[in-house]
Amino acid sequence: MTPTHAVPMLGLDAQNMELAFPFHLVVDEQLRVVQAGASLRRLLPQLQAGVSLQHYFTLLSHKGELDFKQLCDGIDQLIILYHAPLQLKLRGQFCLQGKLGILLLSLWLDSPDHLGRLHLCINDFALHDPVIDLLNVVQAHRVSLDDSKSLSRLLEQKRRILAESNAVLREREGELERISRELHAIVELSSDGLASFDGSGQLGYANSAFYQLLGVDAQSACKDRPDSETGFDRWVLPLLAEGGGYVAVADMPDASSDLLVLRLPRPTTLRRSVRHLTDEAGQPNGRILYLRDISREREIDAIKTEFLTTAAHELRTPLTSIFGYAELLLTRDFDVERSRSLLGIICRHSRQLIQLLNELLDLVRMESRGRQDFQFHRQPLQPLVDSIVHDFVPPESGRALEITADADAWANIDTAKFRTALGNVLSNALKYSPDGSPLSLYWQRRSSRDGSQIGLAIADRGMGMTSEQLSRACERFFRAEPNGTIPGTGLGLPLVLEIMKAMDGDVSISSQWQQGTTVTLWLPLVEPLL
Amino acid sequence: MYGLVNKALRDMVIQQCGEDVWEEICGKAGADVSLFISNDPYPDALTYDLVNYASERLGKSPVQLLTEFGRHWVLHTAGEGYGHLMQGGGHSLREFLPNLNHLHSRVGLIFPALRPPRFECSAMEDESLILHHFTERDGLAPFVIGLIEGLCLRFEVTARISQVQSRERGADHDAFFIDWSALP
Repeated sequence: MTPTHAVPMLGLDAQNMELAFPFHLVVDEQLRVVQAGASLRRLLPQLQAGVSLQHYFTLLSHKGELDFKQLCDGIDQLIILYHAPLQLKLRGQFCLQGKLGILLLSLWLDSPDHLGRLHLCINDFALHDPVIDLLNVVQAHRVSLDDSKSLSRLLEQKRRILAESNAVLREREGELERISRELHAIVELSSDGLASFDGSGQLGYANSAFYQLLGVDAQSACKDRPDSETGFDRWVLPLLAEGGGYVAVADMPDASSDLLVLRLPRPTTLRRSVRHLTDEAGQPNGRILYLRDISREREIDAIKTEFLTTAAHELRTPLTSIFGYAELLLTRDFDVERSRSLLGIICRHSRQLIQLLNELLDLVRMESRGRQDFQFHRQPLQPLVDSIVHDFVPPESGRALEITADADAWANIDTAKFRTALGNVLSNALKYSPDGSPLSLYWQRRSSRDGSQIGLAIADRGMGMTSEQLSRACERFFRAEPNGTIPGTGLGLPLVLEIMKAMDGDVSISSQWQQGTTVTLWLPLVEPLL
Repeated sequence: MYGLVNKALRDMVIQQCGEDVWEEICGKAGADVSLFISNDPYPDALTYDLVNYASERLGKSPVQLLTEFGRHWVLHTAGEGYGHLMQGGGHSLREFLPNLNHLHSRVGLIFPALRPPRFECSAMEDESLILHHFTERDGLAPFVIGLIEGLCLRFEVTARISQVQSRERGADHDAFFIDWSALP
């Protein structure tokens, strides 16, 4: 006999009793099953009316197993029925109605999976019964736990990636640091000024040369120092030799350059170049300013131009004469004497031209090869000087010579080159002093940082030079007498200077206008060979 | 919508195309994370964007993708996450569908920001019924069709599903006729 269907109890009709307590049980005084709720019957179809409740369940409370009387006595106790085969727990409370006991129970589920295992659905539970909702809470917590684990895994993965990226970054940083140090050293070594400005025009980096070229003390904190593009403009404007036409750094087109001529302690010409920087999106992101001191280049250019102009002029002068007289001889008939005279002029100019070209070639060779062609020999200077003087100022020249001797004057020299140098000086002394006027040659000594030097002074009593002429005496093609009455190329003294320097010596010149000139050839003094 | 929905979409996309594609979709949708927290609410717009970009990336129409997503929801996500509710919802399609509101009410207890749809069943026969779907959200009819298809698979029935009323055509809600009587 199955337990009876619900009958009206607790003031509820049968249908509401089933709906409100689908797991209830009614027992008699011997704890025999009288009635069971629909869901409990579905769960335990073997439930029989009249069979002891304890046949199916273990009746538990905090006092242990109970009988009917104990149930009645402990009406305020939580009742738990345990069904071992299905591992079911029903929980609830005991009520007494007449001689019957009513167990108002609900099913206890310990996990969401339990519901499925029992093949129950939510309609099997009373709507007021929160067990399904508790399962939802449990499940929500499980899902949260799963999420936490997933996030934790993801974070661990990201942490590993970050750690790897950090390691790579540190490596790259080290590499960048090394490159940066190298670049810094390179940029600092440069004599060209470099400065970078950020997108707002503020100075980011500038090398020492940048400040030096502008005459700025890099350590100073003066108000107008060029710490920005506008600061640069403010600094430079008052230094400009010519005011107008200055373009602010910010207004210079990309990859453009111009020249700034500044009145610093000495006039300086700077080539200013600007390169605009852009970010990854191609937006303006600052500028690089590059300054190069081209004063020396411009000076050299000017010297070269002047040299070429002068050289061309000096070559043209004798050539014009040679051409003119040659043409005359070709087109006109002259007597023998006149012809010889004209040929003599042609010959003289040709000799002058050859001398000019030889000296030019000597100078160029000296410049390009330095002392490579020199053959040095340690030797006494006095016999060599006597020989050269004898060649250039023979006794029959009528010149009075005052020569002092120094047997200890020894030097390490190229004999031929020294001969050329002294010969040029003697030639000048003869040309620029009146016939018959005396020449003096005497030895001098001086000490320098590099040791003792011996100097041979050649003094004439000729026309001398003004201080301006004296300051230019060693310039190429400079002639103290430009009218052409005294033959010469203007290359003699420059050549003497080059030769003496190649022998670690020097040339000093003193002169007084209309009084005469003294040229001293200095050489390092060496010990005589025994 | 709750993160559970976005996670379900993620699982489906990753199942079909891999994690890189999902990361790409998240990037396009402007999601600052690619892993969603199931029990946290996210803006509806984000879910719609994810669906649209996923549809674009997977080369499927939004209707097709939403239908697939509905099936995936029933068969995988809801089944795995809240399987007890799916199991407890009923032993058959006919028992389950009328319980949908009941299920959503219970879920609403633990998801306070939930704005669940409302379902009604009419013309209920042993093997057919009309399911009415009321929601404030647009364009979810294909998703509901996918859900029904998933439930049919779950309860091992073959059904003919036809939309008999559409919000897109001016009705106040969508309605679907589900008939599993004639098909084997």
